[in-house]
Amino acid sequence: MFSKAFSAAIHGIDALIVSVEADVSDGLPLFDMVGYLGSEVKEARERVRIAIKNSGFMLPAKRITVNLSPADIRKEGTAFDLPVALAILAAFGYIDEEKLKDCLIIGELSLNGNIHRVNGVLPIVYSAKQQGFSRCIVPKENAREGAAVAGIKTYGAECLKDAMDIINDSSYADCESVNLEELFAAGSGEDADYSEVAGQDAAKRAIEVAVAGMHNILMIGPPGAGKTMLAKRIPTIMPALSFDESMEISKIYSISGLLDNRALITRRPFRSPHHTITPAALTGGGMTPKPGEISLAHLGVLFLDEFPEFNKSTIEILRQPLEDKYVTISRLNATFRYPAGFMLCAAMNPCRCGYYPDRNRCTCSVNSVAKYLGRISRPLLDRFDICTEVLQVDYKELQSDGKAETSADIRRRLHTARDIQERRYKDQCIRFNSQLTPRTIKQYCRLGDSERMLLEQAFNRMGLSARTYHRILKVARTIADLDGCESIGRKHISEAICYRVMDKYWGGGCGNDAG
Amino acid sequence: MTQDEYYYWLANISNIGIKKISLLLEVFESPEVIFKASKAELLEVLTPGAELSEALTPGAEPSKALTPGAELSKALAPKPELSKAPAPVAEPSEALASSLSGRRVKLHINDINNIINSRNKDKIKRDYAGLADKGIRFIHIRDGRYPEKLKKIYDPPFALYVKGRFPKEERFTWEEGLPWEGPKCLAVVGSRECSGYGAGMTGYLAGAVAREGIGIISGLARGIDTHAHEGALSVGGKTYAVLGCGADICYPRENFNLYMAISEDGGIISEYAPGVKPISCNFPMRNRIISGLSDGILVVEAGKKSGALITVDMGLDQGKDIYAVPGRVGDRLSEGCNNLIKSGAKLVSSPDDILEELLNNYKKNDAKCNNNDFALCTINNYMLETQGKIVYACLGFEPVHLGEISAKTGLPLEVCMEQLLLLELNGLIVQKTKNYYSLRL
Ligand SMILES: [Zn+2]
Repeated sequence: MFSKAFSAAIHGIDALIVSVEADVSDGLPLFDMVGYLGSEVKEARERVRIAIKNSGFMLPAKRITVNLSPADIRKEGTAFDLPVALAILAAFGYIDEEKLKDCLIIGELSLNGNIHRVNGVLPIVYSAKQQGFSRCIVPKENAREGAAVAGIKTYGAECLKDAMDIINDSSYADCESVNLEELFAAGSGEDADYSEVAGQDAAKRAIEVAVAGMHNILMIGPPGAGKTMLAKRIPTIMPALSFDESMEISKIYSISGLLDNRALITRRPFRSPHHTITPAALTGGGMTPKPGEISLAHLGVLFLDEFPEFNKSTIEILRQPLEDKYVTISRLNATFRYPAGFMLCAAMNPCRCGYYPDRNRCTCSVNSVAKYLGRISRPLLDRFDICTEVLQVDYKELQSDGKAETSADIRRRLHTARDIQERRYKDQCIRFNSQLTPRTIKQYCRLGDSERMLLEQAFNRMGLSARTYHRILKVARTIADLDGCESIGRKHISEAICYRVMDKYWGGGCGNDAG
Repeated sequence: MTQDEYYYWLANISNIGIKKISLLLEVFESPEVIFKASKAELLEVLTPGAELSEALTPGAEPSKALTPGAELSKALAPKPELSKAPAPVAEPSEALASSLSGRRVKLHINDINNIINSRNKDKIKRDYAGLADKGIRFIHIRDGRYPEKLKKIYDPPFALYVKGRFPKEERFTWEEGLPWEGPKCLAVVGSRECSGYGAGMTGYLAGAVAREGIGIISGLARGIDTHAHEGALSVGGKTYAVLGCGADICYPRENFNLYMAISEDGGIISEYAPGVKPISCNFPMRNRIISGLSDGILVVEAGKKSGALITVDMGLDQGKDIYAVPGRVGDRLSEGCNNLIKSGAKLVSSPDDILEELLNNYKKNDAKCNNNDFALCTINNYMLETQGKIVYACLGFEPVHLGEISAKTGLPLEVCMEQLLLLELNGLIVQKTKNYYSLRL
């Protein structure tokens, strides 16, 4: 007696279909599982046998062999429990084998036959649909994740018997359904808004420019000035997620088991890992690779507070993903690629005590201020196009409420800039001004004579370096786009200069002009 | 060996300081005699009889230091009730004798051994020649080139090491005496962690004073010291740095360029032999030389417990005039300055305030901008747009952030950014920290 069920394994952020074959033959009563199995899958044997027994089925003393194929992919996790159990039950004739053919099954079994949640339901159901399956049986707790995929029926099963009934009798239960329109409508009702942040106009404007061109931004200010508050609201001024984008992020969250009971992620993510995070947790990795914080921030914002406190080696590994917009993790048997197209926002104090350049409060020596900033490596500092100062807001400003712009107002303005960029780069492999290279800067950031003069003068006066030059031009391009201007004007350049990332030392670049 | 070499030897015996040297010189007259004295002769200095007689007939130099009570009160002419003002001394010589016998050090048998063991003619000659190689000159207290002003202080250094080259047109050459004997000198002291205002005022005042031929003396430290030296150098003036380490050591190291510039256009002065490391206990000692070489002391930005106030105290004891730049009430960096003004130091709001005291026939130059309007003078030279004028008007000496400027003027951020850049390019304002703007001084 032979039967076959279908399941799936997570590979990167996609799923590969795995067929689960069960054979029952005469011989010594044995239960064998083969097919390049990870340790959790090997342990499935015990769980499956006991769960079947506790669900009220008698297994005659026969030799049972289960094979998971293709055999060249290592199978990890507990999601194979349910398909293995169902394949065995089919081999014994409890289930009509024909009915397993269009059905993809995942779920972890407990000893009493209940089905527990598993990670990665969304990408699995998504590939099932693409592979032409018509039904999916998933743990009840994960059913909403699967239901977000249109064109395939997803059933949630609570226990082994439930799952059998669903397979045998198509009218036994209704498939899970999610109203996507409602979901997306609810998703845009943000709970945080820029109108709640009093004052800080300069920082808000810098953030607006940063989002418009997807420039990475560095915020510097004293503790308690509201850097986190400002950063948290960055996703609220980014354009709403499209369905495809939402699906892309939701898959990552599904694999990480962070989708909870939401069907899809409908808001742009905001991730703010603590500075003690390990490199593996930041970029992803581990024995069984899992997406890291940078992938969880995909299409959203990665916020690194207390930036200089992060371990140097942890920060250094951000460089590649920032460039490529994805991260590659190599393991002995496979290479995984996770998307990591996030906007980086970092925040830091200006000095150890946090109050520089307020000489009445800062107790640091000039040397120690320089040292504090020196903790960020040059190449990483080069990834930031924009640097803004966040000021201590005084009491008066906190009280005068009501006048601040809402996130929706800002988002509307950003729309123009994003549209212009989309049109400009439609034939290019880039999407945003921040992705311009020195070569393409020449093409897209042309300056008039008067503008070039101004920039040159500023460079000489402030002693800026050549590497700052390109970044100022990119940012000036974005500011002009926000203005709806085809050509970059003097005021766009002036503003971009104010956002420059300081070069050597914080006060540096201005020399000593006294006397 | 030459006389200078004998002096050099005496100045560099381990464990023999200024006080022991003066004790020895009172008995033996010259270093050469000490060098040639037998052990028995040296041991005589240890006898209590000799010590007693010395104590009753005080040396010549110290007596000068304490007698001029009149000079002290002159330093505080406007309001002499400063707490530091000396208690009336009825009989100066009596007071002096008691203070000397109280402080007098004694020679120990080990000191005698040190003297005898250090009598190595070859080594002394070699070391002395090494000074010239480093461009350092050795000037002992009995040398004609030793500054007269410094001899008058209570405990003048026995010897000075000077690294410096003086331009040929200088009236006083090395053969005649040190350059500070003729021209007046102003000591400039203040906080290491100065504000933009302090830095600007220091550079401006030091420059304006040095332009009139007055030497600027300071300590090469960070902050006010640095700006004082730079201010003097920027107008081609003379400036001298007194160090708390050997004159061949640049401390702090980041001031190396300044150190080199001063040794070209002024002098690096130290009472410590080359190679002596900058240890913190040396620094208060060098303050007495800074004040001793000067004719007046300018204090810019001194906190309540700033080291600059030590220099002021020493200056008061030496009868120097004290000038202070006022700060805002509540500004902790200027608390010391404001207290000094309260106790009678002269308030300085323009270089004229110093120059009219230091120079005999100084005439105020009315055409020149006064401190309060010099900024306005410059602005009139530029055709600014109205918005630029509005932005400029809300700036002061304390750096203000772009965001605050926009809030104060009510002008949109992008307008402020554009105007600030123009003002900066025109040299009217400076941006010492990114996006923090202040008036250029
Ligand atoms: Zn500080």
